Amino acid sequence: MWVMLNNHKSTELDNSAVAQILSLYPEEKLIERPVFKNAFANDSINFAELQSESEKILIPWQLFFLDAINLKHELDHIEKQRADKVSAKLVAKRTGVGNVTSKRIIDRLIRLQNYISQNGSLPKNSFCGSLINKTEKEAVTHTTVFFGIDINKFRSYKNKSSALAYLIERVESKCINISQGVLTNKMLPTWQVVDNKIYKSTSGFVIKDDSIPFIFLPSEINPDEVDGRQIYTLIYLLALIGLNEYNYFLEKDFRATDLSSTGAQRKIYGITSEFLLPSHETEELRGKTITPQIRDNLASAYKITPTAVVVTLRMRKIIPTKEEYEALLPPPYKPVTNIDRHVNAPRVETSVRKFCGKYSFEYINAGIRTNSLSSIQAQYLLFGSVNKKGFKKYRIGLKI
Amino acid sequence: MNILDTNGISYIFAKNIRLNNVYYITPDVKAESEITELVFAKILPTNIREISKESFFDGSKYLAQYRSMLNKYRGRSFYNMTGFGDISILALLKILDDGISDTRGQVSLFREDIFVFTGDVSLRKKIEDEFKTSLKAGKIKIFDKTDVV
Repeated sequence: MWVMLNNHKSTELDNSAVAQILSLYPEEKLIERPVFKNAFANDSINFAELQSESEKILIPWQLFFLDAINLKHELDHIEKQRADKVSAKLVAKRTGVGNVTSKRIIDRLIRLQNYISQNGSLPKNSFCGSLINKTEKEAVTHTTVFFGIDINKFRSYKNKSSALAYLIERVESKCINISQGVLTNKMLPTWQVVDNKIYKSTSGFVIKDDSIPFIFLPSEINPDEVDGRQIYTLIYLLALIGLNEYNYFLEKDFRATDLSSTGAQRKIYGITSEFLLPSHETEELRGKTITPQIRDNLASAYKITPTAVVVTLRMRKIIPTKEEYEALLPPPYKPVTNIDRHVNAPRVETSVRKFCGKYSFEYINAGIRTNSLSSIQAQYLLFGSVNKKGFKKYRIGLKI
Repeated sequence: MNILDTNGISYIFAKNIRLNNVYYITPDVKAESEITELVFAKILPTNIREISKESFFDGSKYLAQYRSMLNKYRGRSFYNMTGFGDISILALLKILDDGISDTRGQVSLFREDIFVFTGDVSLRKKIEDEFKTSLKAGKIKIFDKTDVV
């Protein structure tokens, strides 16, 4: 198709390359966007429209200018980064269950991680692999000591939201970047561009690095991710880093996988459960009938979900039968909020801080302050695209 | 005609240089220099002008050359979104080197010599590779960013 500028044919793009780029994140169905549908139908696209549309779909317009050979080179590079950094199971399309982790989010986080790696001389993070050959109890002790987690303080928070914030702060203090899914301030394509529900299936996952591993918590992109569930996800992902077991991630329906897990996966669940609901605390319940009240009290006291309580007790055979287990599972959580409703957006810098995580946020800001980042590079790191308005607000908000 | 790279802008701001000559920048260099303006708390002086706003600038030809240079040269990264300033300068040089057409599509007989001011070794190398003949004929000259006046 031709790129038109001032009613002149400027340059001809490779239609198959354009189609390939628009299928980079297939679940987003970018190829069905009216601008591109018209472009294919008319075999032309106005340059201003291409630029504006690129900003909306968060893909640089320059990528559309690549010929087939160069595009293949770029796409191979992206694939290689994904293969090096995340579980092959995570990026594989899991048909049937709707569990498709957004590769867009993975790519964004890899970009941030690369930026930190290229611009800092961070030592190896000694937590990586430190849980190998440790028993579940030893692993829990090591984790709490390493991150300076005061477990009593953690449990004493009145609500799970504060307990989660405490855990995040502790984990982030030791060179682990925690990124949280946010839908505000154009951190991901807006709902007018891409149906936000497609990100809902993105599980919590880890992006591998020996110095600065990244943890992704789905947070607000998945309304099922209540605070108690996020706490569980965070500890589970921390166990992955400690065990150097990057080929696992937290399934959407963890109750089933938890119970059927074996080998390394069982150990990961074991450490997570031992951390959050220690076995010595549940032993006294052995032989007693577990009621929904007991379940909910435990969930509240230990800052996990009632489902996690039931699954853990079943794994420890404190809930002895399948029937009792199923009867105790709470009904599926129905989010109070509607994902489509309009919410007042937080400040840009708040959304960026959450999505990018502590270390990315600090490194990018330092890059802006020292002029080592170009304006374009900074915007791509922060927003995944050129976002002049957002960038201006961001700088004003942070006074940089 | 003087063409300035992003690092030239940083140099001018850092050294507080008052420019006597006019320098042109490409759309990508302008976009990349926004943080430089911010860091130095300065705006571009009037002697640094965006070439895309000049009446003789043919955006259509420029885009075609931009695509050509983008596919020809490495050193730009879609992962880091870096190196596109170089591509834009090469594209601009190409249309200037080919000659600016007038409104009737006739190539001007008169062509100004082109002076590029940059501190970027890799851009210098690309220009040397791409414009051997014009460099030899003195129609294009590369200067260090410290040579701006």
